[in-house]
Amino acid sequence: MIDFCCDIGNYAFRQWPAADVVGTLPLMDRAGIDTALVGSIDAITYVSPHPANERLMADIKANDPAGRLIPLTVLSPVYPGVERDMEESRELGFRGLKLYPNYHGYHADDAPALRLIEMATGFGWPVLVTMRVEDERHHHPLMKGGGADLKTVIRAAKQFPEATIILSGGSSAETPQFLAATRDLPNAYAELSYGKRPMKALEGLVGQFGSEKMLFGTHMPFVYPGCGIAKIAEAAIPDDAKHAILEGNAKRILGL
Amino acid sequence: MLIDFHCHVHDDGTGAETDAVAEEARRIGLDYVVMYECVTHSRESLEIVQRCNEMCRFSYERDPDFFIPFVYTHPNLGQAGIDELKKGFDWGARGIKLEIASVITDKCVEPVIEFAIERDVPLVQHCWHKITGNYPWETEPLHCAEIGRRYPELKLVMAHIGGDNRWGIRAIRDVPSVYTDCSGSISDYGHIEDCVAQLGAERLLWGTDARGADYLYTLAKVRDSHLSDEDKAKVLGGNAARLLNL
Repeated sequence: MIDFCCDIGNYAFRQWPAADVVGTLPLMDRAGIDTALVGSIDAITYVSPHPANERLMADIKANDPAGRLIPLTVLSPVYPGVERDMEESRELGFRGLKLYPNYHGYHADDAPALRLIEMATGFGWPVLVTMRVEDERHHHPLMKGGGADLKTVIRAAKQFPEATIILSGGSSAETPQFLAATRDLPNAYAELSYGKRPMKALEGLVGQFGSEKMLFGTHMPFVYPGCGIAKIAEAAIPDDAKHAILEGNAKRILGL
Repeated sequence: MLIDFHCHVHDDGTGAETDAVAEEARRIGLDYVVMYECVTHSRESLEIVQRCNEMCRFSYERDPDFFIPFVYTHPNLGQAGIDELKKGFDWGARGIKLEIASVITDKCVEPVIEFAIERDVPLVQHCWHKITGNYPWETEPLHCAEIGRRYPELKLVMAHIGGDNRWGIRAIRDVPSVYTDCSGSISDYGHIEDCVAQLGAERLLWGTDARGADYLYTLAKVRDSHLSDEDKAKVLGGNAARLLNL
């Protein structure tokens, strides 16, 4: 299994069982996850995110000799010097870009974000656009905010059809909207970690959109990884669809 | 034993939704589904209460060995609301569900609480703490704690661990008579273990909130937790069986 939504680090507003590579790898083993795309959680709330990327990369280089973690750089397109941060990220060994529009204060189709997506595409990187990392009803009182604006993510995907754009953290309503709006874009995907409803949700999505545009994600360590696995692995869908979502589509995107 | 303590079938009268829930729940291995019908934004309508309970009765009678029905009411209907409870227990209800018609600490809820105590049946109260602000008349965990202290003999179940489980667990941890269910979309890593550590495994009930939630997703948060097998068995069905005298 390849987890497209498994991040590492500390989050200012809650604790969890693993905040570094050494703690995360055993959780992956317990869940049966072979490979995970990881970004820095600290970078979500850092005003200047890039130092958190550098720290994550140092941790990965020191503690993941088998190369099970595929690092994503978390950057704010509107922060000064971000293009240099992108270049440095590539030199450090990052292999994708992860954006958090509502946490860093921009829209996915704003010019600076489009410029970063263009750069990432030039590097051959996938771009994950995160809608949210936790339920808006449970935010810290000083950090109340809604999810990212789905329309802007769709517009960004349409602006760059050659870019591999992955909706991440989309709700059960947003994910089908995104998949429907990007049906004609072969490089637009949705990772499914935030889909929790309704009953038999995945059967519905596969019936509507097939299995080629969806990616498995756990949203670990925010949530139990078993939730993201069970809803796919035990769903009443064909085995080849399960394989595509859990692993096959990810391998195609990553060239593995 | 595997018992979903929090399910809404919402059958449209054809039986299709009832059958779909039963089929999926049985496929996953459930023994029973506790079911209730209710309306989020309605607080004083006998017609709505009756319609919900008829819907519930319909699903129950379609599969009576699998569904365990709870009856719903609007406490501010007064005696008419209590009469609906009585009718529900006449056709087979085994507990009571309250939604957002009244805050559970409201005076008008007292007869409902006393009815539940008299019948010795569980009362499930929808409950959520939202930093974004609750709905008018939406119960939050501190209200459940207050009722648990006032009526220690009541089998009160605070639904959804109060939404924000960090808040909900702390609100009721010193009120041993209050149970909680982990139904709904929240699956924060570690919250099941935290709940059991602070409340004890005997006070947590597994539920889904289906059809509005996915069975597999909600089951995995207990199955994937680091609880002992013994505690998982209590949460996934043992506690519900005890509450329902199964």
